[in-house]
Amino acid sequence: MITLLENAFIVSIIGMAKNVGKTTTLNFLLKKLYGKKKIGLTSIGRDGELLDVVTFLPKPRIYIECGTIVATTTLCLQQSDFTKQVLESTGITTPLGEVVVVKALSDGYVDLAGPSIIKDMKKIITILKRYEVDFILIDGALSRKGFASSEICDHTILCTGFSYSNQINHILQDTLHVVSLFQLKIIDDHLNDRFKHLIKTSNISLIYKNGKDKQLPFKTILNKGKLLIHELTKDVRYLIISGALTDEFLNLLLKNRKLSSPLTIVVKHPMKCIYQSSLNEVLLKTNIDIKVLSQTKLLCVTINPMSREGLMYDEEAFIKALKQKIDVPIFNVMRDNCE
Amino acid sequence: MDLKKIKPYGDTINDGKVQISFTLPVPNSEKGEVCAKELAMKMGVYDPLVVHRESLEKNFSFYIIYGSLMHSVDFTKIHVETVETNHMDMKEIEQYIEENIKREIVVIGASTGSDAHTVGIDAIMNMKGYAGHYGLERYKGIQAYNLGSQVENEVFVQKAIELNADVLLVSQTVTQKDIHLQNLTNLIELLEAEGIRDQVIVICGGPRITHELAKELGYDAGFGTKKYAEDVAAFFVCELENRNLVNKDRR
Repeated sequence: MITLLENAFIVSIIGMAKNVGKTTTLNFLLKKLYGKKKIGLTSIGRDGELLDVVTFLPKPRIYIECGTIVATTTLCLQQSDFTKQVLESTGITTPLGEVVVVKALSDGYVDLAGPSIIKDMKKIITILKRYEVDFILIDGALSRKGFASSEICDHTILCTGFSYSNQINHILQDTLHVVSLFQLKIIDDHLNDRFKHLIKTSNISLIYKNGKDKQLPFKTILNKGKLLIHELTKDVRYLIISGALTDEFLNLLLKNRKLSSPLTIVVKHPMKCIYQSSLNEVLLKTNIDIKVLSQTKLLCVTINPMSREGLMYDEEAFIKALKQKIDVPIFNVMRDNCE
Repeated sequence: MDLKKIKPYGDTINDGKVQISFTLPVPNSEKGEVCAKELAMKMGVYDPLVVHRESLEKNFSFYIIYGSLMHSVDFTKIHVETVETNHMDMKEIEQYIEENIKREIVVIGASTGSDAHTVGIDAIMNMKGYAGHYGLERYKGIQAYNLGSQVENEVFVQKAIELNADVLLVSQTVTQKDIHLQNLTNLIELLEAEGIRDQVIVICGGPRITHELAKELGYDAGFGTKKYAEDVAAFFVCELENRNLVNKDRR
């Protein structure tokens, strides 16, 4: 796994659910990278605390090495036991206090809680870069994936496991769906600037087959699908959406659109796609495809074969099924020698 | 009394007496009773006594057990994060809005997803309020929209955009199989994808919501039980100022 990280600078760790091994993956990476890289560390949620906030079960703690730059909140710092030098306070507040950036002057355990909002995370990354870190790691929370967008990070790791569902097919289908989002194709280079401009200036716009474009006066497609469908005549080649692409709209589109001419839906990045996995297969059978302006590279998938109740499932069968469908390395960080 | 070893109270201090009830998926029988006792012992209850058992239907039986808990908790080491706000009552909040915000605050609230319970959101929003605490609809300087229950996240976010809302209140009462976590997470993901997360204050509430969980979920605050409209309002009026959202662009 470590060799995969060679070209990475900012890596996020996202998960399908709670207890799928996000923090275990983080700890594994930290352990391997200490001494080799100067690491910047933060989390979109909360990690490293003794007990889980939902289940009250013990959680893995996060051990950091002297020299690590950490962005966490004031209240979490009180629960951390390493010696620290406060570099700066950020003015970003969270339910657990203000986010501050500190340098570890000794090894020790850290209670990690960074900014919750993506815009604030961008600020934190700018600050971490200022302290000349070689590598930034962002831990996730629950099933939140929004911060894995290319606006925040260049690479991501997806953690999945049997805490997500007790039906193996369900886990498989939804995991594959998330993987497929990171495999959405980037729009052709020569068109990219034009799309970027349209997405910046308008929430929803169209490009017709004859090359002309039209900016629609909607603030969002949410609950406005029916109005938008009327605009999608067979002469429309691209639909460009600045916000979320949801089930509601895609279902309407699939129901109402004549399949005579191809349509490409363009979104900024894969995390704008907030639709269920079941739509994936349906979309494959149509001539509607989804493209993105920028993409995050999915480094690998890690699995945790233990469910929250402590039950083990058939890990081998699961990995085999995953491997048949995706071309991304898969690790069990609890057990594998993931070098 | 030793605060470092707190146990439940029955007849005498720290005797650890507890009553537990549960259903087992087996017929009502002596075997079922022993099974119930063994489970109680595994939970840390010694001297378990099955004081009642009855058949629910052919293959299910119900047990009530009385016993003593062997575990104790160090009360002095307990640390709870709560929303820290200056306590203000309705009049003080109205005055704060008039003096500091100088415009109406738009608040929308709902029970989202499959949750059909309106009790939580009604208590905070409805004119008549709850337990002697008036709801946000009565506040001068607040435009409150209660969207009710079973509101889809898509609809909720669309309303927030349409009304240019400042504050989003989400109530989640049903928590079976952690459905509330899924719903609450999806809302945040949708707000981020729509690009408006940084322009609104998002607050969740419900019996299993804590302030620490709110952080994990990506909310600005979380309110559990025994919190009223003025607690929520005192938080968001101050937070609007802290986050520089008072003069946000009126989209």
